[in-house]
Amino acid sequence: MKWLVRRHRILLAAVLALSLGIVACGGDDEETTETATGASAQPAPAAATPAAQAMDGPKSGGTIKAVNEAGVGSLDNMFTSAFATRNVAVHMYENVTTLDLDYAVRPMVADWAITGDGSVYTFTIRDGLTFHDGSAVTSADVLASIDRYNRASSEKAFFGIIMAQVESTEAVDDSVFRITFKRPVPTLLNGLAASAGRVPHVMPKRLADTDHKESVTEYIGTGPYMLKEWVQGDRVELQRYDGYVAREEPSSFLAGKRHAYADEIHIFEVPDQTTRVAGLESGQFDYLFDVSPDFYDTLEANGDIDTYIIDPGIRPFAWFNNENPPTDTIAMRRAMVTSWDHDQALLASGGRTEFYKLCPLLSWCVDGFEGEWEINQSAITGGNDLYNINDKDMAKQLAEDAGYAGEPIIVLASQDVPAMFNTVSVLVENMRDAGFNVDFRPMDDASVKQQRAAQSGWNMLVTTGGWANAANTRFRTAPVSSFVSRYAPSARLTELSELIHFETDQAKHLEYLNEIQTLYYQESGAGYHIGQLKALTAARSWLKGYQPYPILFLANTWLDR
Amino acid sequence: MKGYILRRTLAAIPVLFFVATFVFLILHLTPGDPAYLLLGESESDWIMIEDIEELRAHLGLDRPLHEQYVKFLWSTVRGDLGTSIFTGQPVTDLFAQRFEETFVLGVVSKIVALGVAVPLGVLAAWKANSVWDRGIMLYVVLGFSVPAYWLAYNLIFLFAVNLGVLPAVGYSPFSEGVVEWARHLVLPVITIGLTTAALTTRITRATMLEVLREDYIRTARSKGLSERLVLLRHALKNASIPIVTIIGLGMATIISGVVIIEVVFAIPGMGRALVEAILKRDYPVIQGLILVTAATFVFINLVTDILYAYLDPRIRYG
Repeated sequence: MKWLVRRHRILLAAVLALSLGIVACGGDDEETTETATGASAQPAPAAATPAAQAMDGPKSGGTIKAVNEAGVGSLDNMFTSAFATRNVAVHMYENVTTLDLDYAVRPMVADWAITGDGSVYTFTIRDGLTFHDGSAVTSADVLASIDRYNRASSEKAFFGIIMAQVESTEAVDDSVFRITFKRPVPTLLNGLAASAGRVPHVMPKRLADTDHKESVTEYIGTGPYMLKEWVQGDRVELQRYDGYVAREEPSSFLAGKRHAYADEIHIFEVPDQTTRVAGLESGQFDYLFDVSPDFYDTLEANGDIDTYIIDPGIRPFAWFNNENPPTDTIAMRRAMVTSWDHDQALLASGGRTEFYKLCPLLSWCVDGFEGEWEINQSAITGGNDLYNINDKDMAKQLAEDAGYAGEPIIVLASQDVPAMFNTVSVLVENMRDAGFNVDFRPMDDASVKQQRAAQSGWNMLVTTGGWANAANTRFRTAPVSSFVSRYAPSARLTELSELIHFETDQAKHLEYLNEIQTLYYQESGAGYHIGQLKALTAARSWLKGYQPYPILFLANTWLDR
Repeated sequence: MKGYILRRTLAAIPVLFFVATFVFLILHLTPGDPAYLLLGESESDWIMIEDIEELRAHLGLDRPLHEQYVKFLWSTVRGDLGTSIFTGQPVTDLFAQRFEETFVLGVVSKIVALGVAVPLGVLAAWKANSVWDRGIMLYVVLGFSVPAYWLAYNLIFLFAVNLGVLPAVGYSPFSEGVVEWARHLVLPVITIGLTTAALTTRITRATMLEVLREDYIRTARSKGLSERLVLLRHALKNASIPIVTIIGLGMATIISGVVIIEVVFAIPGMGRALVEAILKRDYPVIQGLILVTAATFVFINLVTDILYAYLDPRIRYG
């Protein structure tokens, strides 16, 4: 290249040298608190909590970098039910009550005493508890928060049904408040412990008075971490709240003492699964929530990464349009579900047999779980014989008996969520094999959500539900009609959906659970269970103290590298 | 020239009006409504249809389409692009917050693309039918064929995961250090730059080949001018008009490429904001960002036309 004169060669050499310098000069991600947006700030020395110093193990300091399952649209978990919001908000806020590792209800913001016949709840707020703005938490704040949650809840939803029985609420003094019901309500504490969907987080009254149709503009809670910065579309930065007053009980999932070992927790939004995994493998991130089954083996083979299989994870549900033929009859719906191979449908989304389980329970299938009723799940068997029949010939006969004449069955599917889409793809083939004329319409999630509100234009779709509350919540909500299914349950099922909230006798409660589940499968009206998928998470080995929960919760963890 | 610029600027108004109207109609006629996404995210919500309708009314989505349209146009004219339905953030704030990432990515990628494409195109034309030419054309074919996201994944796994010398994802603002800013840009810029340079390389080669056959080039060589002068001062300058055209049009490719790359590399730019807004049907954000993008294209076209006059003295605008 004779035309490349000397000065050009010098310039080229300089450019190459600069490039190498840029590559080489990059900070070691392990030594600096470098976020995915590259702020290479050396961490300020953090004052170690006395607990951390005294314990042999946990180390204070550093910034944990985690990846959320999706983007965060709002940090107000009473305004939006997005799980991505819950995964952030759970570090900043606390509920009045919460759940421990056995899914038992435990006190958090307040302890309680139940008096009378079970209709009077008196709560005492945790001593010294303050909000992130330094103000003390008072009864007025908690009652206002509960009220906002009630306003945000549909009257037919779990909490709405409970709160319809309220006779009075009273702030006895700044730290004691009372809720009196018209009748015994054994499920209030469970309702206040909700950790999915909309969540009854405690916030200052001035914020709780915000219309539930609008997001609050300040995010102030009582949790061990407070909001430092929210770079919308990129990350939420949380920093330790130095004024946090923890509970004394040992940590157990969301209950007990919540430690803030790390100075900060940064929760990132990385929409692409491949780059999420690359970020974990390169050490740029410390933790991934929601790992695709496709990457599980890769991460498991990496000696610097720990993988976790969390059960329960999410559940696919099938919804029928009960007002649009031919799915407007029980007989037809029963015919359709009889053709389904739940095993194959779950395998299509789970990827491996270890990543899912068949589960006929309306609640989550958790081995040994008993819940607040101390009823072992194995005692709930109603309707089991109607689950996963997987008989194409029987389905064909049932359809014939139902008068099915080959009308198209419109099935919607969201392509944005693989767990939904893969499952419904298998169910569509199952039904076609049984002779049903299925019009399969994949579309984006927003279109599905709008279409499902219409009376016509669809017959069936599949959604997924994340972990909510294993304590039999589903039994209380399953028969309830919603706009999705436009389902009018039978009179008995409607009656049971109310009774189950207020039954105090254990034996009677079990009887109701079995009857609800039986009717649920017989009517096949709302939110038909496919099964249970497990959640997959992964973390760098230097992230210690992590317990595999079905939500992104990193309090009580620390960095050891 | 001033008059020309003024006329072109005024001509942009109907263009932007058309874009605004088209986007508004497409959005509102497409299935999906932000109210359905704000509520009913989780099956545990058990939302009633009345709740949806209440929220739609609160957001003004139940108003007649023409009423919503007029309101949208009037506020846009006054510079108010609305607020995000999901976050409550003004669209102008969102734009300001995310502008740097997209602008830097687009501009630096374009500079890299030019830095690659023009020399390669010149070299391919100068050494036409040689091994150099064939090698460069092979790169052009690959540049057209290889999906940008595929290249991105491979670069990430090579440089971030295996070699550990560059970050896998994210963006570091310039204000927080030029080294980290540069490190975070390397992989996304290479991805966009290499894939978008292919077209410019090809056009440069083609126009250079035409120009190199001209009589004045033969004359220049006959006069004993160095090959460098012949190529760069005489040939390239005369070949630059089509190249500038392609560069200007290539901004469209860059911007679409930036959207994909922002998602892959988790860069919080305008492209990614637009994708997220579309998935959520966040109408104000979609409308605002598309309007800004359209205005950007109008500006780029104007600059391109002005450059013509600079490069070719025969071109003069009244």
